[in-house]
Amino acid sequence: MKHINALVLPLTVLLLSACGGSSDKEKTDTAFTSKTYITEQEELTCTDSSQPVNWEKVLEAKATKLSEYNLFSNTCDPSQTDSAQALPYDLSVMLFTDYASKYRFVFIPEGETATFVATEALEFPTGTVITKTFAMPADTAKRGLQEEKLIETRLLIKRDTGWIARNYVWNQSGTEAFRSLSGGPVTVKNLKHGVDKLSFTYSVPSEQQCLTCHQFKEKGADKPEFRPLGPKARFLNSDYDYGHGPKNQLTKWFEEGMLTGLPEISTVQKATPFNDDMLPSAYNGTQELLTATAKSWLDINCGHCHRHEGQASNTAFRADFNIPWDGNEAWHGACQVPISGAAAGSSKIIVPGNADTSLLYNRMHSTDSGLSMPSLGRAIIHVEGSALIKTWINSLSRPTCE
Amino acid sequence: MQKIHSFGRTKPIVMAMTMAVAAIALTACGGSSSSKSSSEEKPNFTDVAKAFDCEPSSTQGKRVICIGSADDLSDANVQNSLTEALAMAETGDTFVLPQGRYNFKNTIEFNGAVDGVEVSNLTFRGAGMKKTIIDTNGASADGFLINDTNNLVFEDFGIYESNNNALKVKGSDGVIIRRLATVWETDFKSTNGAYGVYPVECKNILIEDSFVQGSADAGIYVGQSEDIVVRNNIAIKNVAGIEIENSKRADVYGNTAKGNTGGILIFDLPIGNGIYGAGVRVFDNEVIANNAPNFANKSAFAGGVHIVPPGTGVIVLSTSDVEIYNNIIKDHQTTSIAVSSYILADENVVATPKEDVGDGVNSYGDIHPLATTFMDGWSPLVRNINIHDNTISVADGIDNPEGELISEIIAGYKTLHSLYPDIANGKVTVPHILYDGVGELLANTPHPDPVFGGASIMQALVLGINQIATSVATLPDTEMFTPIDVSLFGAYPPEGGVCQSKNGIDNRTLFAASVFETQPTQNNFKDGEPLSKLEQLQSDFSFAWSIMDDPSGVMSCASGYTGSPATVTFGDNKYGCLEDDLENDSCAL
Repeated sequence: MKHINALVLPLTVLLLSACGGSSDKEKTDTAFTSKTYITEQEELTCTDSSQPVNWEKVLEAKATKLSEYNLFSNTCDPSQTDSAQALPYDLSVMLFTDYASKYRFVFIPEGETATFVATEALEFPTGTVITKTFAMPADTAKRGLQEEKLIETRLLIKRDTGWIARNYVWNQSGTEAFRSLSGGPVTVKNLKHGVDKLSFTYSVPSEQQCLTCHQFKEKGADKPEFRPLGPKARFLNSDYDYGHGPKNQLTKWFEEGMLTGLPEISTVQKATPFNDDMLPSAYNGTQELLTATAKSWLDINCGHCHRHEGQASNTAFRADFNIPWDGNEAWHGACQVPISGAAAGSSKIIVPGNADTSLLYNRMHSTDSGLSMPSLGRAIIHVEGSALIKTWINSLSRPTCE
Repeated sequence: MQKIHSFGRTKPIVMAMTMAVAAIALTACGGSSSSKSSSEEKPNFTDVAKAFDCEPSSTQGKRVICIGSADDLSDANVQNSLTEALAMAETGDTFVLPQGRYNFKNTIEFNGAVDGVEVSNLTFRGAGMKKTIIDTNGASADGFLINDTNNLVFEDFGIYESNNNALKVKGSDGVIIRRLATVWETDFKSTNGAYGVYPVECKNILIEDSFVQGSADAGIYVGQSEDIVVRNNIAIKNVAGIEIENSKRADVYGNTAKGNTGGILIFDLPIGNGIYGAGVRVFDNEVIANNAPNFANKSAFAGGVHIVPPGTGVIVLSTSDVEIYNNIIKDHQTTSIAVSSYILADENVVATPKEDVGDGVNSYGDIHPLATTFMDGWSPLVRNINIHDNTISVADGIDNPEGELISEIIAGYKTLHSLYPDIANGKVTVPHILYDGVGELLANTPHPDPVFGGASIMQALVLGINQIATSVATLPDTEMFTPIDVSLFGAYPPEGGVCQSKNGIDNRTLFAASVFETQPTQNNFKDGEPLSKLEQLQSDFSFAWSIMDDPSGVMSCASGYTGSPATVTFGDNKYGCLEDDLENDSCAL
């Protein structure tokens, strides 16, 4: 595989011009088109890679092309790996990212392990790389890389000095991903979702933007620490089919020698699962289940910022999973007045019994600039998540706001 | 649950405050009546030719990074070039922005480190305030968002049409903003972003020679920060021209605030994050005709900028240790200087604490809406305000007070004038200097119930909250109970409230008056509620002569509070009246 000296690389490969700048092919067999903004100087093909992970290069984190790290078995398929040091994983409830599919792997150097942490992200050894590939389907009912267009592969790499982030954006042909410092827009047209056809501009973040969400700042600390968000015990405490039927992910990690310190599984935190295919009846059977599902959704979508240690520490809305709803309603924002981001019709963050006047619901159910939340990471509305939160807020009978 | 010591069953103090102090309708605000549009010429910033003129330098620690290139000044390339430069930033970098107007589609963000290595001392420099314009309308939130990065300089460019804040800097020590323009080109639109220049939770902030126009909140806003100099800026057609909020040691001088809804705001709000402010000097500013309609987004936050009555020059809300002097304050349709405790904005300040909270306490806010902020160290009272040597004038025909926040005060004064037309022959409806006085009154009046041992009404309130709070279990992981500091709510020492002296008004009568008297009398309480002077008028017409005036000398002092100059330290340089402006006439005032 050609190694391209970064200094020689034409600027157009790294720079991501606004949509419409480069030539692109439209898929005529489906109604879905997406344009990435990478033009490249050479024809690239899909190559099988039987080489081991290049751990040294990973730590250096200087590669222009994702394939240089040898993470995946084929340069066109970041959803498969041959590495014995890797495990795929899923989260029992996931951050909404415009209905893109996400393929996640954790790679841990041989002989090392992650360490169990009860309520926060697991601790990982130096050399770990976590990969998360975003791919957009043409129809959300038909997933799998064959049906999808690769957008970006985000890496979190653990150095001695802490975590760093790298983002690799895929070219039009899906044959290679190139390092992107500035991210940029990706046009998505006619994404089929149920009976709807969604067209929007998906946003690949810049590398600096990673820290906006991926930060953990202990109270009194000078600066925030970079942390993974997904691999927490509560989101990994669920089943994944590794090819031989469903198996608990934490148990699997332990059995593969990738995780130490795992206590008895029944004592481990468990987020209440939620996915877009669930009918409301799957989560609204009891008040307890409904609240637990809502809390889990809020935690993974909002809790990284809306907690004491996050970017939005000074706001009155808090979504930390570890603080139960019952008894801490005001702490979450029930009947609390927001300091900013108010919109006509929403006077309080959570108005129990009335989602339509709750700022929480209105901001997650909006695409207005300056108002919509989260402020990074989505362009369209999460219909199913909004329905969950609406149902939940409407189900609440206390406290009563004056 | 243990029995709470009874408060003796005296009638709870419910501040009805009918006539004089408005019960705040928190959704409706601001007048819709015509504004005086400022005769400011509208600068034409749209036609700026793109041009590249930059010499890069790779000297370590002092690199100069040219943004864009001679052969590609497309909007996308300039945006990406800056974003990538930040992704690879090193301490000491200067980013040179090219001349021209560029549309950015994403927030320019930096979080203080690259690959975990701290980066500081960054400069962003354009070709000039009117020559380099970054139009951030395509970005869904802020224009520029820089966090946790020390020693930042932003100079010589403009940020236009942001959907949220134009330039937000958070958590940084050392911020210089000079010759920067933040502009929304359509007047008075409530979708005109939020703040123009917005340093928050920062230290050592210098904002100078900058231009802020059109913000639907504050043009220049400094919040929850320390050691601040805001000088020689122009703020026009914002809701608030310049706002200092919850900050310490700030000097605001040499600025022009014109055509805003309110000119200069000094606020100390119950935000609840423990950061409160005091120590602000406002001097040698031109505060002119700030009569724009209030086009802020209506929010339910009682201290939000949507409460600013149109036609107010300088407002002090709930902040102590403020000196306002040698300003020209001219042509305001409502009032020239307003000073008020937070009670005016939110009558919840004096809500009765709920005794029977039982096990249902979710936060100390269940006892009293502002309990946690009281515990945090916030006080709703104003103390040590010295207003002197200002030149105040209101030209004929300007007077036309409005504003939901003080609508009942205005109505009261209008009634007064219709009954006694000679009283305000200076032809203003509302006093030029308006002080609520009710906070001071409640702090000066001993609570009638002997169980409080002579503590003031305000002290009784917080003692009550403290007592209830001690009897409920500490709330899990949320708030620790910190007893409210009762001494903050005690009687005012002489001259500890508002002082006004030597404020000239050009051959007319200056009216400086408080809405409430500040010492209890036989007549100014009824059924446990304080009565404003206007309310007392109803039963005692002899009062009328004193309402636009200050007969009991509420605002007379032999000498008032004098603030200390603020100093900004940035690397080896210092800025402020004691430093680079030592010879400046303004600083000698």
